[in-house]
Amino acid sequence: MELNSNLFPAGVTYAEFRKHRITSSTMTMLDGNLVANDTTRSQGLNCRVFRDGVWGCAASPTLTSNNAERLGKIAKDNVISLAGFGKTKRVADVHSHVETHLPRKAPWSTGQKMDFLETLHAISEKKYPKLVSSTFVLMEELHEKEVVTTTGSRTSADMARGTIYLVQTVLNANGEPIRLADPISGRGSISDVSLTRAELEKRLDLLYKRVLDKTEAVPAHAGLVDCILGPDVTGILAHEAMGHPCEADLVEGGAVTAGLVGQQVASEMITMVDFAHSYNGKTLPVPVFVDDEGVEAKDVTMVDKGILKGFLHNRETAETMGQAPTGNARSYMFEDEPLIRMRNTLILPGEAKLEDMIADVEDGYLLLKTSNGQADTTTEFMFGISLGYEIKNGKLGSAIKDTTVSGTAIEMLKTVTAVSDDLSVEASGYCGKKQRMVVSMGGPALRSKINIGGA
Amino acid sequence: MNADLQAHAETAIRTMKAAGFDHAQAVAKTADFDELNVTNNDVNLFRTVNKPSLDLKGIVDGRKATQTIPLPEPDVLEEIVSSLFTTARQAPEDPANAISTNQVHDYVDGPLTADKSAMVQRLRELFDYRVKHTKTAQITEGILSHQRNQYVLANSSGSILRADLGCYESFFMAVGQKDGKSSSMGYSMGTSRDLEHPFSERFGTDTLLEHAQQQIETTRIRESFNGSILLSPMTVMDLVAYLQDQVGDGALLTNSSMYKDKVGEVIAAKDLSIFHTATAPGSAPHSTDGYVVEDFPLVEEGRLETLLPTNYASRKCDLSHKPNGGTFSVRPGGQNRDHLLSEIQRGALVGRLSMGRPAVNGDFSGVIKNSFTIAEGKIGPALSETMISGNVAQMLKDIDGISLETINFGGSVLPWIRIPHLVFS
Repeated sequence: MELNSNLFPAGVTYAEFRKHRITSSTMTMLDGNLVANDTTRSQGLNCRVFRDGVWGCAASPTLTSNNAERLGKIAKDNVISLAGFGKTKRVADVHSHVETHLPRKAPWSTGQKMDFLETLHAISEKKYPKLVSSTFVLMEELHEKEVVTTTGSRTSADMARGTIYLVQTVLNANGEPIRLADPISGRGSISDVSLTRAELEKRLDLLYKRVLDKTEAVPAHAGLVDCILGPDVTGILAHEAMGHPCEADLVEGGAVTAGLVGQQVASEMITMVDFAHSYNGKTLPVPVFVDDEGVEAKDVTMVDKGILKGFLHNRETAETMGQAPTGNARSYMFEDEPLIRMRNTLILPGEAKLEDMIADVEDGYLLLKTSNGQADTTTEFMFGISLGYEIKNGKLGSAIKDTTVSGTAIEMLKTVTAVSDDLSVEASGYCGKKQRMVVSMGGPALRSKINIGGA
Repeated sequence: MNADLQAHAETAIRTMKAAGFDHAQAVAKTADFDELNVTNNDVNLFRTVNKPSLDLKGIVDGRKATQTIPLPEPDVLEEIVSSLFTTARQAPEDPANAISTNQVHDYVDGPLTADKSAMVQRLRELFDYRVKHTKTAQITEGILSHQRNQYVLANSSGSILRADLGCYESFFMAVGQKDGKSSSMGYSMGTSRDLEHPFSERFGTDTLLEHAQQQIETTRIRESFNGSILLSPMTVMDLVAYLQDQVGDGALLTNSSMYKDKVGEVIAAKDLSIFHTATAPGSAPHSTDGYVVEDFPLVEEGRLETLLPTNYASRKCDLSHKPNGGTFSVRPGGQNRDHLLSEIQRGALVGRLSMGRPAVNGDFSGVIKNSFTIAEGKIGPALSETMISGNVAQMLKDIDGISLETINFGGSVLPWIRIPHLVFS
């Protein structure tokens, strides 16, 4: 079916229809056994309407004009039933005509993916004698969306991500299992993100070295210490601790950032941007050219040389705050309503060399991998650290046991004293905010003071 | 029960058998929900969703593949099954792949239609309660939904599990705000079969709002120390989840379970008993791998009673299969919560634990959120940026008090639990 303006229900301030198709697959090989071999296809139609300050929404899978009209009626009935609620009376009236379908390599067949998994398993069996378990996961997802709105937007776009997880488990001297994971992710399918055999072996060799390092790990000393955050940790800090509090719906909900625009929230070495689709002429892992409200996606500089500058918007928050929508309204499944979500959130590189940054630390830690992270609208954050090393007198020492770092981003980022000149971006995992969402995050290495939890 | 769903499941099995699968399983299901969304003390979205789907699982020569597709798609079923068969044939043979045999059960539970006016009314009441009793607490996000889930699981080995389930599910997030200051976010959530009681009396929502007000002003601890924590029921969920992970498929299959050889041994304090509840609002006594489940103890007076492998993991690891529905509760203790608190010389009342995933040996450190200091048996100021570290496996052994009072989250019923010897920093 074709989405068109005749489908919109009458008597509403704003309406949109979204046709959304999702295809995903997961193959998991655990110690040579294929424990997951799954494909999921989902598709449907979503109608959302706005009237008198509230939204109505209805969704179901049938892609027909009759169903679209039915959903429009349900969405309108829903919005009418909320009479008496609602504050914002308008949504931003902008439109776009964007059609983007970036080229991708042909996706691998199941057989090709199976061969790839068996290769990974064979390499591990042959080269890494101390492994007690290895897991390899291949995940792909493709989202194809069309949106029409009463403001005149008519858009079509797709988004694809492939992820390879390498996971190794060994035993320490006490017989306790020690595990470490390394994700490889990017735009497209597995065929786009896959590495050559030599590159893969190099990556697996490094993972094996690091997981063995962890068998002799020492506990970190709890307290506020000098640390160098590797790009993965910088990325999650950018996303969780500063990115979420810059989402305008959370700002309206009382995030501490609401009163800090124009004020210093970080060292002047810090510039942080939520890029829509590309940086320095290169396409980022989660390119969003147009959002699910039919708004063309723009880059948003949240922090510029340490000063808080701007927020991420949808149509409603843009209207409320008197700013332009930024194209951050995104939905994960066809039945989901668009929410303000990040896209590719990066802290920009500086000028320092990583080796010089390490050399300048007398007693501290190099933090390389995170297991997960959470943050608050106060910018208070917590990240699990699954890989880190001691730094003693400017040199790397023993690995440290799994630990946690915490702090308040708007305080911690002011202590940054060096930013490396490189950049690493990754897009594995999901951001959670009612719905899950594919995002990318990253940055350079940062040197700062951070509260580490010991182990 | 929905005859159409059964017809879809049976058609799928016939098609899969005709394609050459040795074993076939299909779950035809439909999820319907009406959902009210709250933003900043106001309802701002009413969403209605209908989502039918069909899960297929096929095994041929010990090789397995699964697929989920929208329902109905009768015209493309043969093509999808053919593709699934090709995918399965390319998988390695694994004798542990199997489906359930002769599991037959029907279950209907809960309100099958939404009382939309009652949903709106309960939210209005909650907003009024906030204004009257906890004005500086803001309900920044919330969801109240009625969900109806119908499914028919059928397979080629005689199993047929049917369920038609209705329930209400709620989630509220709140912060305290005053004079430009804000507390950390806190949560309450739960499921129920009815809307008979106001939310201010359910799932700890009144405490959420009260504590949000009290946590606007916080203090940091001045020095590291060893102390006790009194875990709120919400954080007891984290403790139970750790144990579930450790005795479930992931840890068992990767040889990373601390408890694989500990069945029958004491792994926790004598006061701790954790039991599986087969039914809960919105959930039938069926496991996801196609078995009827029962109530059973997981931990009885500190002793591990069973592991929780699925059928696959049990065959792979040569363990007894223990199907479960994922809902666990902790038996209340004999002491009043305030009494447990009064015995703590130095420590914290923990409302939320924000932490990295514990290491597989149980080591962890995390930030305690929505928490208060405890000194000489009395609650003091709210805490900020406070970390605790320890070992979760050791914490289970160190438990020295479980409260009489509990919070019923719908599925899980959990008390407050006191644990000494945590390192605060």
